[in-house]
Amino acid sequence: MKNEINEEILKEFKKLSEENVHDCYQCGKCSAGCPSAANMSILPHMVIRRLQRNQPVEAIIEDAIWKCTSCMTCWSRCPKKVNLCRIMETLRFIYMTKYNDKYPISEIPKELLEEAPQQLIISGMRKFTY
Amino acid sequence: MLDIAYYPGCTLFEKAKELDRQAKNIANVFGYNLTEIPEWTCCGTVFPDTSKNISRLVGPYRMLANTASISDKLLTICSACFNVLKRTNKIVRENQEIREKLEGYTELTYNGDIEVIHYFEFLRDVVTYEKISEKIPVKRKLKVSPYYGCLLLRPHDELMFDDPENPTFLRDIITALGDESVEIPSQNECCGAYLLLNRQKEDLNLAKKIGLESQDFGSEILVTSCPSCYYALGKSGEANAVYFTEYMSGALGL
Repeated sequence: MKNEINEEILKEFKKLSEENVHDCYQCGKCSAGCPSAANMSILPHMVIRRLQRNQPVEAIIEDAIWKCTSCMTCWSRCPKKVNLCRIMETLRFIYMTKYNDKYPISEIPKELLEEAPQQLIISGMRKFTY
Repeated sequence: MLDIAYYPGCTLFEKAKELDRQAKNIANVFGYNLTEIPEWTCCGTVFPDTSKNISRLVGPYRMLANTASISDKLLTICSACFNVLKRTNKIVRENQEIREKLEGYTELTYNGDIEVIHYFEFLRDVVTYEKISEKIPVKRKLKVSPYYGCLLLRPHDELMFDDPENPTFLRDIITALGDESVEIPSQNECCGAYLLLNRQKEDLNLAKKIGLESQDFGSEILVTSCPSCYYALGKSGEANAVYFTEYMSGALGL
C-alpha cells in the first residue's frame, strides 16, 4: 500500500516540479545556509535524499516542507543548481491536493489579518491552502 | 515632469500607503511622475513554482500586457510585486507554450518586451546617485543598516538585479545620502515573515536575529523596502525598522 502511494506521489512530483532530484550529490550546502534548518525535524538535503530513495511519503510527513520560508537561498547556492525551493513548493502542493489545506483561512487569527500587510496574507494563503 | 508607468500593488494601496506616498514625493523631487497603470489588480505575491500553476500567472500577465500599450517600462516598489512581475515577464518572453496558454486565458497578446524595473534601479540608473547626493541639504551622518531580504535578490538568473551574496545597492544609496552604512551579516537572509501565518513562536526568531545584529553593530536604523520584512522586523521588537522611502524623505528634508 505504502509503495503504491510512494509511486503515485513520485509520478505527480516529476510531472509538477520538472526537477531531477538525482542531480543532487548531498553536499549539504542547502542545509548549511537554510535560515529555517534549526527548526526543521529533518534537514533540507534529507528531504531530497528521501526523494532519491523513492520515499516521498517520508519527506512529505515531516514539518520541513512547512518550515521552508521560500527564501531561495538553497537554490541560489546549490553547486548543481537543484531548485530545492521548487521541490518544497511541489511537495506542499501535492500534500494539500491529496490531503487538506495546512492552515485554513478560518484559522488565521483576526488580529493578524487586520495588522499584517496584504502581501504576507496572500502569500501565506497561497503557501498553506490549495 | 517625465511620466513613468507605475504599479503600486495591493500592499502599497492599503497597509503601506506611506511607502507609496513617499516614493511618489521623492520621484517628484527629481522631476519624475509615477503614474499608476490603469485597472491594475493583485500580482499574486508568489511566483508559482509548480509547472501546473499557469492560472496564477494570469494576474501579472494581464498587468504587463496592459502596460505594453502605454509604456516600455513598468516600475514597482514592493519586493514581491517586482519578483513576480519580472519573473513572469521573463517566462512569457522565453516560453512560447506558456505564452500561448496565457493569451488564451486573457485574450491579450503580449510577448514580454517591456522592462520591469524596481524603484532602486530607477534611483540607481535613471536618477543616479550623484543627483541624489546633490539634493541633500544637511548630511546627517547616521548609522544605517541596509536590509535587503530575499525577493529583490533571488533568483539572480531571473532578476539580474544585484549580487545575491554581496548586494550593494542599499549601501550605495545610504552612502549617497551622506550616512554611514553599517552592514550586518544577515542583510541578505530571510526574515521568516511567511512563517508568521503558522503562528508558532520560533517564527520570529529570524527577524529577532536580524534586529539584534543591527543593535550589536551599533546601527540606529534598519532600512528595508519589503512590506513583509517591515512587518516581521517591527513585530520582533528588536529592530528599529523603517521603509527606505521614509529614511530617504528625512534625508532629503521632505
